[in-house]
Amino acid sequence: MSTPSVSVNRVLKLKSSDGEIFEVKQTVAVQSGVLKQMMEDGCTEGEIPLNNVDSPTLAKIIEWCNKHHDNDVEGRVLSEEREKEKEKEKAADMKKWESEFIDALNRDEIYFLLTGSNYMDIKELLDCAAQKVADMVKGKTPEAIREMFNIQSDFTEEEEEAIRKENQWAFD
Amino acid sequence: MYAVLKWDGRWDWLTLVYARLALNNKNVSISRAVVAAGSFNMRFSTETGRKLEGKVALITGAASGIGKETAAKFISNGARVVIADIQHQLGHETAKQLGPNASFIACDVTKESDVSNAVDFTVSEYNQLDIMYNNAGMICETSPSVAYLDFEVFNKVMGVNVRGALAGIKHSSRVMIPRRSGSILCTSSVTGVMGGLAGPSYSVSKSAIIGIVRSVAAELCSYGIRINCISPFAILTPLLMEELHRIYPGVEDPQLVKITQNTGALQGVNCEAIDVANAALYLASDDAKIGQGSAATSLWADLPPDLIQSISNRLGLIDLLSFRGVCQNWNLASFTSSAEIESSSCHEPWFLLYGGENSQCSLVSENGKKYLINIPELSGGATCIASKEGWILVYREGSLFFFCPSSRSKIDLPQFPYSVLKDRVAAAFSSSPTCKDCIVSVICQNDERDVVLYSLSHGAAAWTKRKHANKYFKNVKAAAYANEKLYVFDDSDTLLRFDSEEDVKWVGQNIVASGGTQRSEPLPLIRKVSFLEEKRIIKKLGLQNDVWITSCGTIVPTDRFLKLYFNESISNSQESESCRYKGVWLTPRFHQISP
Repeated sequence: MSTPSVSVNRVLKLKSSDGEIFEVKQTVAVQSGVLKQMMEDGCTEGEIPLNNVDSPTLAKIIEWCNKHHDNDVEGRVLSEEREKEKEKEKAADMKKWESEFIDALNRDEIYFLLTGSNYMDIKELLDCAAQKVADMVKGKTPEAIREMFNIQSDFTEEEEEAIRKENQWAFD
Repeated sequence: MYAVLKWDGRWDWLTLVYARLALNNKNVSISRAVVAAGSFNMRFSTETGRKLEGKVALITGAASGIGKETAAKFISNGARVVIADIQHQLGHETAKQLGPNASFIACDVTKESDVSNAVDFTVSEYNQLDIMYNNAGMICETSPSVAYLDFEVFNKVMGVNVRGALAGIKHSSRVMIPRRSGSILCTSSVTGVMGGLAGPSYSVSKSAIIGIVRSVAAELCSYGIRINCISPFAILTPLLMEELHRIYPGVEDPQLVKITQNTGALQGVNCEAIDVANAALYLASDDAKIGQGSAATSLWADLPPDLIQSISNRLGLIDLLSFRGVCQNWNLASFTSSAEIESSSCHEPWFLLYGGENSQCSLVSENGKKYLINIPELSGGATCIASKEGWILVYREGSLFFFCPSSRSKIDLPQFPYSVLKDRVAAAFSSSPTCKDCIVSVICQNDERDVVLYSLSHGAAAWTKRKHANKYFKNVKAAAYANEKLYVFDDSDTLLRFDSEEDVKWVGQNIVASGGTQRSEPLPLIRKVSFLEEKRIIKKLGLQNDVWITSCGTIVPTDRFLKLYFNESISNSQESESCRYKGVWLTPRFHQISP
């Protein structure tokens, strides 16, 4: 009963920026807004080039999508109450998996995951990565954040002064 | 030998060794170990970095030269190292010399089983393999012309330099992939990068290593394994010295050294084994996390604005402040987050306590965190009479001004015609004082309970005054603008409504409709009358007993209504001599008015 453009067994061939081919089930690929649109438009024949996503990042993204897909399609024949309970359990497990997934990455891997999930329009993954960066930033001074992400300040002296003034709130 | 020592203060043990080696060609291994010992320890005793704490490394060809130097470097950085070398006796000696964190295993890299064995030995000995350094290599007799290439020699070189490295990559990957981490290093050579520096066999072999690293990197990095190669310039290792002697028979060592090093472009700097060891340390350690040359470090500053926003949207105000101070891009992109967070309805106001002996103020954020800030504008008997959208209206020494505590912006208002402090007072402003349609209203009440409204429109030079007498209205407690109307509340559920500037008419309204007989409009406001108590502000501020706080309320938008926090006072003591403070609820904002 699935829509004609998305069938369970068909796979998409995704080509990373460095030329590696990844095969992904269509049912998994729908998590990407971009791929979903392409499937609906029926233009997923051959290799789909993802020029902004390198192979390590794409591998990570697919790992994420597979995990979330598996979680979605597991048994659905339980009683309503049991189902609710199960759902709760699964949601907690998934949260744990997500945090382990994202914690294992270094900051540059997170960068590419952020840009990659944005490019492929995978909202949940983007949210997860953005939350991770937000957590990394929390409680830190601008200087500490710059150091963490290797960013050079490009403010003028006056602007720096204004920032210091503003930050008296945070770090007095 | 002594001539070499004096030649340049920088000469290290390696050079020393080659000098001795050359003089004593047949007796290589023993003299090397003896000569090396003294200065070796000196060199590394000062190294204190622990970049490889807990890591396990396997280094092929580590009995001497670059491999040995790297092994020593790794050990001094906290790693345990397995030395794999074809030279048994020398390998044992080196391991002994490097101490308890080094062990030796015999390994001929041309035999795959030997390499596999070395990897298995490492894992069984130390439970893991974090760093594989495929360093073993050989130099071959160079025939300057490809026309006379000897394929036997070629095969031998390729067997050691290329197959050996590939075997190391193969078997280390075998154990690294399941753990999804690891760092693999290979020694290539400048001759593999540039042409014409060595004979074809050697150059081809070193070039092939670069090719291998490139080609397997794509696969390995998907498992979180890094692979890199180091391409050093000619280093005067035992290997090279032997080769040089073969090429230039009868030439003395110092001359050979000179010949080799003068080829380098960077004058006065010679590439030494320690330099390679340092490079290897960097690549093996977490410092090189981004290795594979994929991620340049300044990328974060140039993150697309929508992504910067998706991060900044998740930050609280204080963290957002820091975030905005990182760089121009982050600052610009996060401005909408600032606006969103500031207007967000889910934020409760913060409490600012002032009026102590000096200008030191305490701030309690919505999640109960306490900050200390110095605000001179709130010292000297200043009193806040209204608060909205991050701005507070302050009365001090006969004048009124707007003040934004976070950005320290101040807007002076025309001379106020009345002494506010003598009377019961409430005040409100219709919008941010930087808006063109902002109206400021101060409601004063004298002892006869006459209500006097002073109001000022944006840009006006003077206050206008209207008086209203209403026998039902009790003590004024709060004022707020809602739907462009001014609401003034007393302490007993009565309110006055002032519809517009032209319509100078007060509408009395009882908030609690009695029996439905009284016609009353629904209020666009929710009132919060004892918020100080509810939020246990005294406790959160960590104040000692006997305090009395008079606080100014604020108005905060929620999803459907405006929430009006009343002016109130709280005390935890019956004593009349309790310590008196003032406070104000505010919703912090961090905008600065343009000059």
